[in-house]
Amino acid sequence: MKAVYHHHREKGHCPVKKFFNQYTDTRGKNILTSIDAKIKHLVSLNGISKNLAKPLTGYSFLQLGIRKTKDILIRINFIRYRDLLVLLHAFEKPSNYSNAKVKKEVDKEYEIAEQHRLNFISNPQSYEEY
Amino acid sequence: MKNIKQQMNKIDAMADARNDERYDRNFRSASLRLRLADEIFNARETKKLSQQALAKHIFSTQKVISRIENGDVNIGIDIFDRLSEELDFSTDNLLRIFNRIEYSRKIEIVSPVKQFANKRFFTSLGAEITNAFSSAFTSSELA
Repeated sequence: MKAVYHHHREKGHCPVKKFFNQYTDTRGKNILTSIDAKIKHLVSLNGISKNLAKPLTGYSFLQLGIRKTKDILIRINFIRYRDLLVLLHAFEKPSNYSNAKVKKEVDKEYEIAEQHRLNFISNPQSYEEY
Repeated sequence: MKNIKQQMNKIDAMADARNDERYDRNFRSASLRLRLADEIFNARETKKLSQQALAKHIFSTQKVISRIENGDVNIGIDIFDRLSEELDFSTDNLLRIFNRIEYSRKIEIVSPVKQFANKRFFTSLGAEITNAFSSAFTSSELA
């Protein structure tokens, strides 16, 4: 199994790769290293890990969680497709929230991930090497 | 504007992070945390303990267990000690966590050889002792 970035043809970029590009400073590089270790660990387990890759109710993709700070989490949505681990979408969210507005924003991110999933399924060749 | 967008698409922050001098060290630490996370999660599942129950046994909180199992935190030696005791960690668990599984294989391979060698040693030693005793008794009887 190998990890790949989903390439969105209409947008002309890889959403997850673009998301990673905001972490360019020293702290950001440490975060990216943690993400890289997690993705590679998951690949070594064929994308199956009950404690790392969590399914989401109502969605057909899995989720990888990385703690950015005490209050902010990074979520990476992915699917297993044949021998590929396809990185669909990534976003930041607060670790604790009860606010309806924040919940709506998070749901919106999952909807985007679902759109990326459908986009990839219709064009399974649209990916870039991780 | 188009050029800026094109340049942005060319940036690969992950590739930059991999080229950083601290990458290897940080990657090794993160991998260690993830292997520990797997071992703790699997051992907890085997023992059919909830995160809450395990946390109670080791005088911690469910949040801490969740973060450990997600590979997000470095744990102290005291928590590791309590966890390994509660989850009955064996040397195999430790070898897997510290990625020293090749030693585990060596032990497995060497072990039958050692057993055989030990058996031969003790058999020959036993034979020598028996001989010594029998000759001693024989000589004392003769005397």
